Amino acid sequence: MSGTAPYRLLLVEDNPADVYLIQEALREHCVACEITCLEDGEAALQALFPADETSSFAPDGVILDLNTPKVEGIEVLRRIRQSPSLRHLPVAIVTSSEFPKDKSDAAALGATCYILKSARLEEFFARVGSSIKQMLEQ
Amino acid sequence: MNTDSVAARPEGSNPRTHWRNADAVLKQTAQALAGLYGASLGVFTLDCGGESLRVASQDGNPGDTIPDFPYSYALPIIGRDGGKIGLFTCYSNRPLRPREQDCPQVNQLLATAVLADENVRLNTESRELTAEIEKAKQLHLGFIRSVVHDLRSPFVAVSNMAQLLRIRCGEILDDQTNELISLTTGAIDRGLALLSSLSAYSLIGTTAVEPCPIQLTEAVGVALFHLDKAVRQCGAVITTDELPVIIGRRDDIEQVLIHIIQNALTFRGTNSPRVHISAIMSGEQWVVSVSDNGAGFDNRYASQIFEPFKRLGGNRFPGSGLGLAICKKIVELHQGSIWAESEPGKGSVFRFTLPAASQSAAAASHGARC
Repeated sequence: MSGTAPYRLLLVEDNPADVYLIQEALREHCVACEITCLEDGEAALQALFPADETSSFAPDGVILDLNTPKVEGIEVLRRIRQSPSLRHLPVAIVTSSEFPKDKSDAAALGATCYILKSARLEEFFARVGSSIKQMLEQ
Repeated sequence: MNTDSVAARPEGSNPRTHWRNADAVLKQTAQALAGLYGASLGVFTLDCGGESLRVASQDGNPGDTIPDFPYSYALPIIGRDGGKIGLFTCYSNRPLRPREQDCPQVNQLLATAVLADENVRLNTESRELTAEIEKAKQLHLGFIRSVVHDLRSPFVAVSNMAQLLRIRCGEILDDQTNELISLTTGAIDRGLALLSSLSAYSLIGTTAVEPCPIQLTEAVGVALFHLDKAVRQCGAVITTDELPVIIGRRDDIEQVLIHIIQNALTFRGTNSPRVHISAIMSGEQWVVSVSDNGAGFDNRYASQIFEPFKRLGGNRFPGSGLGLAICKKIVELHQGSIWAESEPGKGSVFRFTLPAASQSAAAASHGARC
């Protein structure tokens, strides 16, 4: 990323409270970004892989919840990693799932980071803010 | 002539062991039966639970039309339930006639075919059942995942929102409202801890980790590392005897130790907690004992405490009410048992059994980690 142009982020999250908290976390960590929020995995796939290629949306990073409506987050990740043009796109999984297989599946599919949503606000901000900042700056 | 003695096997079916066993038994039986009738060739055609199996007594083509053997004689094979399960056909180049005096032998040989058929059918059924169990297991896991994730998600969001509210508006809210926010986040924390325990309880035994030799001393060390803060806070003294090498799943055994030691710290008495861990050999198992000088409990409840959500101390003590239930589930998955002995005010002893490692496995486990 060059200059001071904000990062373009795609946030796929259906819970408005989490959308708010993630935005706050990024603000706390001074991550300059323009966030496009989509509520479900299908909408995310349509934005990333539009039928009309001229309208394709190329974000600098994706923040994915795992349990998203219509198409699950893990499937969105799989499609991104299978795509020749998007396979290097940084993808952060931000989830409430403590289920071990979710973490191992995300790792196997090449998620850039796996962030467990903490119920401690400070920890939530620290984990989400610093991990995503690091992900974008790499 | 075709030299394949097994004429028709279900397409795409792997020659599994039970098929091979059935082939061998039936080929021998067909030879004996054909011999009784003076036939050149005997062919079994069995409907093994829908998977047709044909076996000939010798090299040859057991097709329906055999030019070399124009004479044939067929015997129905009757299953245990009285239904026809197949056919035995003799082929010859001269007329065949059944001989009454051979009937007992014939019936005995046909019974062998019935057994072979049953064997194949049961194996097929067992394979199908195994597949069904695996499918049910996956559904169960999917359900646990949904419950744990979907319930945890709003809890986490509400807790964080309440904390944000206190940070942003705490100064303009009165003490009573701030207290209400604290009570809200406290209740959510307990809910989240309960969900984590429920998740851990449900996931026991669902991973494909194989048991291996484990030095119990190391497992105790890991458990104490996890409990370090709690041990230091209450000034507990933990001691151990020389501990053996047992067979188990490392993470599971560590969990058992964490929960039992945690239990001793939670239900401590008036004195500083003292916990001692020892083990004695009993048959081919080790009986591991964790004794404490805690508050103890009425021995009448000794079995109840291992049931999920049975909290003898009610909500006065922290914990989800699943710790000892997790221990029981893990120990039983290791073919062991767990029990406790106690008396109010005189501490408790928790004992559980675990399989012993063989001497060679125990020696090999030194320095190794599975």
